[in-house]
Amino acid sequence: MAATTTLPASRTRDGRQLRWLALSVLALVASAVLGLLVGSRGLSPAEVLAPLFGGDDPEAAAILFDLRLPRTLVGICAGAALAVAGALMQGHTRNPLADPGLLGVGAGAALSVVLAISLLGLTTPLGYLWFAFGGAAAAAVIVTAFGLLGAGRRDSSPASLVLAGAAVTAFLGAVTGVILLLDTSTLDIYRFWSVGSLSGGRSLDVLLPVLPFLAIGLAIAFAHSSTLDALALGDDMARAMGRRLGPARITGLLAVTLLVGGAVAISGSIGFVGLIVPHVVRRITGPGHRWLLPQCAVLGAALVVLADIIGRVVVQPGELAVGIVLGVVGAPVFLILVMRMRGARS
Amino acid sequence: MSAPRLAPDIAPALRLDIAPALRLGRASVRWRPRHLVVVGVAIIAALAVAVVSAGVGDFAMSPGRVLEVLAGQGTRREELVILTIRLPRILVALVVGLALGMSGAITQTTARNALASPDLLGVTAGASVGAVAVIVLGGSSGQVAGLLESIGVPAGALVGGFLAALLVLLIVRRAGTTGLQPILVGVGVSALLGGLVSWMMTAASIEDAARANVWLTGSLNGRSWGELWSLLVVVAICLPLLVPLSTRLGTIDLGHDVARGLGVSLLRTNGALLAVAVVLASVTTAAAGPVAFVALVCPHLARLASGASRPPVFASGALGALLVVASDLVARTAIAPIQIPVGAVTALVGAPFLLWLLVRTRREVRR
Amino acid sequence: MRHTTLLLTAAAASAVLLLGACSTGTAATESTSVDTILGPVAVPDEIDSVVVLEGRRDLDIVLSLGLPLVGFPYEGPDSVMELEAPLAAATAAAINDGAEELFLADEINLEAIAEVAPSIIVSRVGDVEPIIDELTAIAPVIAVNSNDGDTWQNDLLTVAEATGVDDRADEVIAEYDARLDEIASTYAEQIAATTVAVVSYESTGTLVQSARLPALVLEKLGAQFSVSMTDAFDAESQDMEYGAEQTLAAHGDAEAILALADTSGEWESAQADALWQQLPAVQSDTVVRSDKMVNEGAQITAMHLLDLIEQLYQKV
Repeated sequence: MAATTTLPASRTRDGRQLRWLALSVLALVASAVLGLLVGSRGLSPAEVLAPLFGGDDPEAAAILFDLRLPRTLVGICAGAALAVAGALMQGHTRNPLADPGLLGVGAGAALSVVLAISLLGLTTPLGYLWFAFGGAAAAAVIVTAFGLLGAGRRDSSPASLVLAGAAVTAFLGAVTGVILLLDTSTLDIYRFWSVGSLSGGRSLDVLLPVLPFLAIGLAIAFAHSSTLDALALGDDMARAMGRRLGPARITGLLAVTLLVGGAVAISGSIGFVGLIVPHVVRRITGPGHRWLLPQCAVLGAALVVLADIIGRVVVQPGELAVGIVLGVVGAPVFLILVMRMRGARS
Repeated sequence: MSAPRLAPDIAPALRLDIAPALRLGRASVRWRPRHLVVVGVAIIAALAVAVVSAGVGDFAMSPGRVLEVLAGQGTRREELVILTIRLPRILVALVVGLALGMSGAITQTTARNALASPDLLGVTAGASVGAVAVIVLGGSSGQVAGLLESIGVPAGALVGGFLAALLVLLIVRRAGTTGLQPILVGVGVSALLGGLVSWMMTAASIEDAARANVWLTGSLNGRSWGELWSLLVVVAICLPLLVPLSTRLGTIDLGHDVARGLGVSLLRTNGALLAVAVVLASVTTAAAGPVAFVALVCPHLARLASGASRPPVFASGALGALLVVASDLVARTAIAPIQIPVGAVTALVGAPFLLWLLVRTRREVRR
Repeated sequence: MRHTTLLLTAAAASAVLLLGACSTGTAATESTSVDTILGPVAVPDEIDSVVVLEGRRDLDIVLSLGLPLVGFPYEGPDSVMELEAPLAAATAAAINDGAEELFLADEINLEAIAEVAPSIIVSRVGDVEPIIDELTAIAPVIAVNSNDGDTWQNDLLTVAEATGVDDRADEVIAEYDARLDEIASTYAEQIAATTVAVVSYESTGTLVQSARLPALVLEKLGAQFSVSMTDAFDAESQDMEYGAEQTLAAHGDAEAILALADTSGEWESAQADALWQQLPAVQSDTVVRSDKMVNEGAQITAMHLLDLIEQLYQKV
């Protein structure tokens, strides 16, 4: 009958992780609110929020409901999807530099979008939405097929996936490049899509059709966490622990395809989120995917929203696309992360 | 100087690559006739394709006529087309192919990795960053003219290529050198740098971006004597360096421990070899943009053709020259009068080759 | 072999230049020396064929002067631009007379140009400078400068002087001036009393450019500009970019807007854009739509632009 009982370690750890998650959610909510309040058109918080309470300034209403709200929501969804997809890719390939774009999804989406613009004249994000998604999914399927085909040896499965991705990306990129060369006016439209942006006609019409896919992708990813933990120990260990590798890979890549395809369809190809966020989150949560994935989702969403906010204020009255801001911030952060990486990861 | 005879029942199972050696004083070199044949055939084929290519186009000429023009017997218009427009471009194609083939062979042997190549290791991407940075920062109306173009862009590409190689080396040392880790690191760094280039293109004006877009696919269009000079100078410097270094490649191929045991200073030799490979890859990127897959494909073809255990450097270079000049021919004529960038053709051919290689060598991804 | 080839090239190039200068051979017996931005150029007196490299101002100049066009760049299968280009009709007429799309604007096919062996090549300095040696070997190059400074009239006169069609040049410039004066006098009241802006509507926001043709022509007419336009005039890059949120704030004082929207998608987005619809000019329907093709050009484009401006002031 001890006066104190020591809680099992897992429960304290879970408690701590839960607190971190709550903190992250708070950060996300704060970013989202900031996203509503801040913008290239400097309105005071009262002015911006007035339409919510029945104010009748049409300009503020337009800015709030047509511009800031949709882009914040799109940013949250895209950020969450990309961060989780990045964590999945890094878990499956056991490579800290894996990024969802390695599966060729960016190149596939780009080619489909360019074809949609140049052959069908669909020049708005809503117009080429399903092309982007379809192209991303098709590329992911092709890359996965070749990756699994080339994975004769046990350990080469992730490597062959990445190499297949590099080959398919190069191939699709070449075709895209030739089409852009032949149709110069497409380049203008494609250019801004390719850098990743939350503005430019991304209304809720663009987000809502894709939301179910993102939701399913997230659900699969979260359910997949224990398999990812097993995979991190190496294919042999995972098999020894009773996981079947083939189905596991396919599930994981299905989740990545849904998430990245959806993210790319709604926001163009935003880089660095899938690469950096899992690294940062791993410092908080450790390698266990049960907490890693939700944290990635929340912090990824917050990162994209914050980057968008920065893009809105630094070059007033213009705006910087979120992809550009992330590029400027992301590359140095990535380098710092790399420098601090300890030890070898097999 | 005859090959040793083995007992008949062993011979089929054990095919030893024992070749006689030619000795001259203290230097000795192995006598590999098949290798020399491959080099010779590849060079002749490359030159033949070059001559044919010089005759193909909107203004068509037979190869015989081309040779006559080269010897000085052409009309003014023929000389214009051949000497001013086509010849520099074809020569650049030959030299670019040579440099890329050699660079790929060196990288594959030094990294002891069948899939190592400058494009996959991020060197080409780094060189692109450097070159595009010079184009975008230095161009006033989107054009880089004169001195800036002939020296600034190659210099930028060299700096970019070296920085990328350093980055990959740094990460590989920390993240692990086992298996195909270096390739994954290289692909990651390539993607990173590719994103950087896209960012630079978007931040620049549309004129710069359109030109950079063309450049990024790897194009020989408009390549003139200016680009050829800087390229030739660098390759001419590297070639004599490669001769002694390539003889050490064979030793390195035996494995790090054995090589050390044989007294080859790994750090210096590997360092020198990789430096040469990076320089070759970077300077070709500066001249023609990132021409993908040549550095990956040619070493394999050379190895298969000459039956060697490692990709022979000069054979790989010769095959590279053949591949690029043939690709340029296709690029110029496929959808005439529109010219496709040569990098697009090599990617369209090389990517399926890489996929085929992946599937075929599933058991020996690592040599 | 390399050395021999080099000597041959040097010999060939100098021979070509000498031949070009002396104009023996198939070219005309005399040539005039014309001063262009890239230096003096010897232009043959008889112009049988002209190639342009860029497809906007150079094409416009050649078409309006009625020079025999044989080659121009290929723009793409179906362009995403919704409206017909100002040069479309003239270009179609030229194609009927034998002009051809020879090459891509970004991948200039020198051989195709050499194949048609034009008498002269006309194009922008920026496009011409990197390949000036190769181009000069094919034909004399008249470089015009379509950014900074030089107005299209200067470029037109340069080319006209070089090709001996000065009369035609004076004619078309006079035509333009007459039209300009006509509009200035007929709509004098409206011009003086209306604040006008030239706004490019893009997916990411709006853009105002003060160094392009529309702004310059309006300036000539003595138009009153909105705040966004004057800011653009003062800006270093001669343009002002506004994010999507700024649309109303930036152009709220413009009473008439020349809106440039390239694609049907962009124009539809503008109609759906609540901030754009709140603009006073849009609400009073004093908006005329065009696209970026009017930003750049010479006499034909400028005449088309004057038509649009007249439409705009008619709506006031």
